[in-house]
Amino acid sequence: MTGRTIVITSGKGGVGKTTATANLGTALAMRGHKVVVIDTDIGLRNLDVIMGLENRIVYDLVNVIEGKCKMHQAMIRDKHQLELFLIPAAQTRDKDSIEPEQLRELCEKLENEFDYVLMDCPAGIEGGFKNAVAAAKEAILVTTPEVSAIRDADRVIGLLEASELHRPKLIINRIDTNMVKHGDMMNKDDIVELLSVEVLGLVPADEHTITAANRGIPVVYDKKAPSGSAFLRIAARVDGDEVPFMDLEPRFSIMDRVKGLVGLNGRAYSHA
Amino acid sequence: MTQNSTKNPVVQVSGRGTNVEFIIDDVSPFDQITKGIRDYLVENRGMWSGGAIAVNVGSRLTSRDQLNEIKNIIESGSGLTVVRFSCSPETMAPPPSVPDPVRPLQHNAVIIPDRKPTVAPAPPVRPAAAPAAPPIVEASRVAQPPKTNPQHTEVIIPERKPTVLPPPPVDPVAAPTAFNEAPRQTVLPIEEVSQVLQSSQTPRQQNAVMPEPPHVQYEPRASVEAEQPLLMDEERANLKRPSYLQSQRDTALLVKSTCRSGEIIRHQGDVVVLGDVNPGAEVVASGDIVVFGCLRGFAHAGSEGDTKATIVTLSLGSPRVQIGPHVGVSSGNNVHPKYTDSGPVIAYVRRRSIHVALFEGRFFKYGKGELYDG
Repeated sequence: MTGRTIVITSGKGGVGKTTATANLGTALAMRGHKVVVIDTDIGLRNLDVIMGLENRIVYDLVNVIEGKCKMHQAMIRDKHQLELFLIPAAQTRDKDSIEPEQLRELCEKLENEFDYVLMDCPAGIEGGFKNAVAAAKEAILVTTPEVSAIRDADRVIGLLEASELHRPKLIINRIDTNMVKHGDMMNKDDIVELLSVEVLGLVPADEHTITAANRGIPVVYDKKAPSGSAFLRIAARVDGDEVPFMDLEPRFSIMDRVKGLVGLNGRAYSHA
Repeated sequence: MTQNSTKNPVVQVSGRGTNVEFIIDDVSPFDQITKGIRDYLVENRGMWSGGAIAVNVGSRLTSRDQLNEIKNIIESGSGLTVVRFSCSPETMAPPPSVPDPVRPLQHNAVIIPDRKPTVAPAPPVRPAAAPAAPPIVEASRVAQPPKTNPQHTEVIIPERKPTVLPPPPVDPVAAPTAFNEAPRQTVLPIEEVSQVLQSSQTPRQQNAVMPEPPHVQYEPRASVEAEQPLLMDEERANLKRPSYLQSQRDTALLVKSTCRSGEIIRHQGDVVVLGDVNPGAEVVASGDIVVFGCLRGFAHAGSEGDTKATIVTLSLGSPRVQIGPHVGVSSGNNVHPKYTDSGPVIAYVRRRSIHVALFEGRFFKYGKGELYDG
């Protein structure tokens, strides 16, 4: 069995990499795959919190890599999905405690056992990023519709291409339909035009995400949450299914058109 | 005397006094043309009393042999002297039915000035003793009046594979020395250009991933250059090339992807980007910069001080561009960047500031464009 090693990265912090990793891992496991998620953000681990598994951590990624424990000892089985495992990051170490080669070896071992190996990449483009990217075969890029996040995403795409990870896929997180409608936020087309990468999915801004993270239950379990269903669709697309995009495009009423004619609907952002 | 003949479908004569021009239909086949000219000369036998005329062949692509034949027919049939062939600027439309298969239009180098008074020193008609010479292709471009910069009007840079081309015909107007060898040496054949590109593209690295090379730098590689059939130095010095064919522009760099934030492309020569230049990216070239996409990053053309360099892009949303020492800044709020939807634009230096205008061609005389300044 050869699994797919996918790194989930963004460049900028706080755009939802960890949330996306947790939800994508859960959604892929719900689709019946064997999934392991690895938190490579050593020193600032929080994937375990989002997944609600922080109480079960005994060994971590650095222990595995240093040979202090067996690979299976560090893998924590998820509460809900039997085929979903987490390898947490070490909180007391820093990013230099592992080498890209070691992580790559670990991922190659994991690929033999799992369908999907998802890596939650730390923010930034330094050591931790390089570790995660060196081990990955595919990349998913998370961004929000903000010029700063998009600028960073652009840079990261360049860096991914430099390390032979071509054609990363894009998840646009936290799209506020209302703001897009009023021209206060970039829409999907603006972002795609700038980044020129394939879009994997659009995730609406949704407060369910926050409550779900606080409870330690990924939002894909929440049937009412629009972001949860967005992540389910994304997982289906990762899996190779053709799923239509969520309709997050603004609907313009007659009043909006009139305002547009009068010029009240100017775009408030400039291109990143 | 004023003549106007509409009877003959092939030849029309226009002009007055000493400035008479035969306008030859540029659509009919050539043998029909020769027959038509003969008929016309026979019909109007009494009209001529010697003198000099010009022949306008329209936008037809005529070979040297054909021009000589026309000349012989006219001179033997009427006693007139053909002093000049020209092409018609009105028919600038694509070449009609007889395009020369060997050499497409942009390769030709001969433009015979049109509509000069006959008192002007007429360029010599090509000698008849060159039957094996390559075909002359008459350019259907507007010949500029001789006062304008002759470099930009008379010589068209061969844009494709110059080494494969036969030596360009000697232009009676342009300085022959400037043209004989120059294009072979200055422009790389396309395969070799792409070699340069591929070889320089592979080590494409980012400064954050690999701090060793601080920037992506595409320098023209000595090894590639050495493969070229270079002239000896003194030969090189002997060639008086127009400035825009100077040797720093030996190689062009083709970047076959989008330039993303953080990438710096430096090149000695021209740079062509097949993609966007995103914000945060920089393109620095000692020659021209052409972006087949949206230029949103920083572009510096003529980085070694060449103010003749230009930046051509499909869409200009860049906050800052630089040509030579001159810096242009976009208007502070690029909420609606003016040049993002307008079609290709060119940025050039005029009066020590950057102007932007819609792109009309490399040799168009750009006047006052939009000042790219705040």
